[in-house]
Amino acid sequence: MENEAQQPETGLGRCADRYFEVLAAGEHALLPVAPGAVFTENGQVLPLGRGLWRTATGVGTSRAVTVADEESGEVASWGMVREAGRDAILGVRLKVAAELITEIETFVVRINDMVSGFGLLDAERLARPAPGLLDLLDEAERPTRDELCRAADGYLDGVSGDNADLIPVADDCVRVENGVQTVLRTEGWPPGTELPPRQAIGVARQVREGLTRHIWAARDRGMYLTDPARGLVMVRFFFDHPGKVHGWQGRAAFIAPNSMPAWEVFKVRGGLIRHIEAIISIFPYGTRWGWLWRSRKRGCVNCSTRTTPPSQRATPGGCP
Amino acid sequence: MSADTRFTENGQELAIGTGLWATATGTAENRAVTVADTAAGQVAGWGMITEGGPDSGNEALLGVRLRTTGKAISEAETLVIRRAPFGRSTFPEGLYKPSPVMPDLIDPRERGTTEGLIAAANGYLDGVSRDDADLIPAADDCLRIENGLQTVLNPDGAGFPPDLSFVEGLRLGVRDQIRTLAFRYIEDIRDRDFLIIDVERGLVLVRCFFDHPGQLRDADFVSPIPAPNSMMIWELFKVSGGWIRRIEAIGAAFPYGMRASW
Repeated sequence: MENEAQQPETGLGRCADRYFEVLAAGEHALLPVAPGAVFTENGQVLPLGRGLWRTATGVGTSRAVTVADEESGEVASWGMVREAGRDAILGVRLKVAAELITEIETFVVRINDMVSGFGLLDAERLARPAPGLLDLLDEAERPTRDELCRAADGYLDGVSGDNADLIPVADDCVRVENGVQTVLRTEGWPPGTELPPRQAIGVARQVREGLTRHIWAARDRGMYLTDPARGLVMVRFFFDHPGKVHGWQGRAAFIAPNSMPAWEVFKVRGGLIRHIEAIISIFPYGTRWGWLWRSRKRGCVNCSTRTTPPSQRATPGGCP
Repeated sequence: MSADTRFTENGQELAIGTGLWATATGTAENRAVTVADTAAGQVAGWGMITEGGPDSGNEALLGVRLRTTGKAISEAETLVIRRAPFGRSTFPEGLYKPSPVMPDLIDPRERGTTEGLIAAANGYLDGVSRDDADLIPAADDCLRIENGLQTVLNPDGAGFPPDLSFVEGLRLGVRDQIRTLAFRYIEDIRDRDFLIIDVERGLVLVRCFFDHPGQLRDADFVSPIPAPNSMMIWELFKVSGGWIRRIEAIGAAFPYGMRASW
């Protein structure tokens, strides 16, 4: 397939391939892991070999998304896995130094399980590479690393701050979450259901129409893996949803508070976000990654979980 | 509360005023369970609340532990269970009224020591995690109520959906369940904190995590919990004469390996 041929054929890309290859047999000992390497699953630091390593029974033959950042020596990728007869999404970030893996961060999106109770998934769509995502850009349209990070931050600031003007997004930008397109849809999801009007419109218009009011922060942003040749940046963060707080008017997307962990990839060309792919779940309100020491380098961790009225929300990009 | 009060909800440290503080709209008239240690300045309990109400609100089960230092609350730990238990659509009625037996004073001749109460609780947790009923000092008629439902000596499966896989085992007692069913899907019960002890009432409250590794690839048993999770449990034991007489517990599933933040 054309798209599969476009997977980054680098040492980093092969490292991610290897991770998925040995997972279903639980053979973590076959990975070139540096002594003292840290392993996390869903924000919890675990001994390597625990969690999904003991339960995975199969992995997809190709993955939906891969971003290799040659400068930082990191690669992140996600695809489908099987666990106890069910589909789950596995996101993996590896940091590699001197051909040894020094950090393994994983995000397992389990659908309707006891922890998250969250059901959004199109496993079929995530079983193959996202079309066009890995295409190389013309040199003239390639963003710099800073431009990529600014575009991602602009999106997160705009969505969490109800300000579409902050989001450098093309009108025809498609956003796919857990394999399901959640903007510019022409039919409902699952197929055959009615199309909610909020899903028929684009990214910026959703924000303009107040459909992201329930998101109060996009905090603990980290990773910022970039691949300028392909116009890609991957960020991990939490969307804080405080729930139906006192005085809330209108539709409440969530009654109870929760924090939504997300790994999100933006394809940026000519200064605009053209495509967004994300994997998301639902965790307890205020959950943090096991990599907070990393996340603190960027963004704000202190103001994100305070109950600030929407009108007094933190200034995008910093504390008030 | 003071500026230094530490507040957690479901193991996450939050600013006071956020989380359930910002969404709660009502509390039940009674709490199901209360336990206190006056000398240590600690109290804990649980009961039903509503959040997001009054219209289209949800019910939830709230556990609270408070520690006072001087005149101020220095620690506020909460566990909010927002999903009705065992596949039910509502929380059990029993959570809306005080649980019997737990508040009763123990005859002084039957009272244990602080160490004895902790040993009884540990015996139970060791027995459950190691599948060894002999470690569990539970009376044959000991009842166990989990998230409001009686999970032992309940031959009719009262309160449980009829299609639940383990309904058959509900008729057994605490120790017989271990002997007959084996809880092999519980790998460990870790990070046990003996939060509050009331010797006069024979009560010991433990917060711990039940580690469920999920359906292990090479296991020769079927786990009722297919994906890995860690369940934070607050478990209150009533002990007299060295035997556990009643157990009341609340808990919810969290990411595998999670810790309590305390």
